[in-house]
Amino acid sequence: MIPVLHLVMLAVILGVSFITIFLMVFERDLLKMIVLSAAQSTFYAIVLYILLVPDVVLAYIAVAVGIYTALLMFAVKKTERFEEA
Amino acid sequence: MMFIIVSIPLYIVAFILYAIRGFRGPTVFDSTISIDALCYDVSAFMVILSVYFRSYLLLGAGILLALWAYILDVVIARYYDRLTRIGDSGGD
Amino acid sequence: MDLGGIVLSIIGGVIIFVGGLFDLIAALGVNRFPDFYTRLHAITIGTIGGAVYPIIGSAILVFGVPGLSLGVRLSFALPMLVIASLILITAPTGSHAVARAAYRSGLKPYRRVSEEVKK
Repeated sequence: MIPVLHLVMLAVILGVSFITIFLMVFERDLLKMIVLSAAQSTFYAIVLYILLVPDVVLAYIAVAVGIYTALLMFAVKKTERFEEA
Repeated sequence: MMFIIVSIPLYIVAFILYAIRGFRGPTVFDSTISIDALCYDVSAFMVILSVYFRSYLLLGAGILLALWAYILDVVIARYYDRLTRIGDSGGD
Repeated sequence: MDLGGIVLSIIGGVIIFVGGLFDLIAALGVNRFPDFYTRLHAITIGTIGGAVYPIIGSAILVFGVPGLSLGVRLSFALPMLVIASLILITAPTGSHAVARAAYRSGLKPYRRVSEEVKK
């Protein structure tokens, strides 16, 4: 049985995370898209933490905040920064 | 425990405000700084929630988040450091 | 429950609440300030006052929670001090790196006088 406080926190954070994904898909600046991706993975880290799975959080933070960001940054360095409409 | 339950909404509202500045920052630096502060505050929030859940095994995620949020800053700074030549726009 | 535990838990809880207030004020300042370089001041309050102080406060609070042994309290408190010192080292370094990159890339500071002269 999950208390009501945890459910409210999950609802608010998942709502903000959905808005982040929506803005990330329609973003034309690829560098800002990378930063928004880091923000979205941070919100998912809180959600997984409230659901009491810290081992998943350990792997998810290292991959989604750090390595994914660095790899996408190397990919953007090779191409152009702004996506043409 | 009362103080923790009272101060949880403050942290949630602060996360939402940081995320708003991250969404509508005029430059990339504003978004980067805002999301960086969001990561550090999420790390502090995780520590407070581990006291709330009474389990010290949950503390490892805070250390990892505080360290990987630093990588985000360094990566963004390195991207701009490659583009501008040294001594181009003056000053260190 | 003894008196010292109550005093420690109240001190830790008050520090956590004040850290939340610092965090809220810093987030409001980030949304209100006009420029990147002025937002950096608010961000500094948000990282040091909003992340380092509540972690130290929760390390104090753990010693006041009833019904825990000394080993459990130490295994709460020592990683908290590690996290606090890591944030204390990495947050100003990262902010300085981004500010240096912004200044090198030619981002001008906000000046109200020059805005009025332009009009």
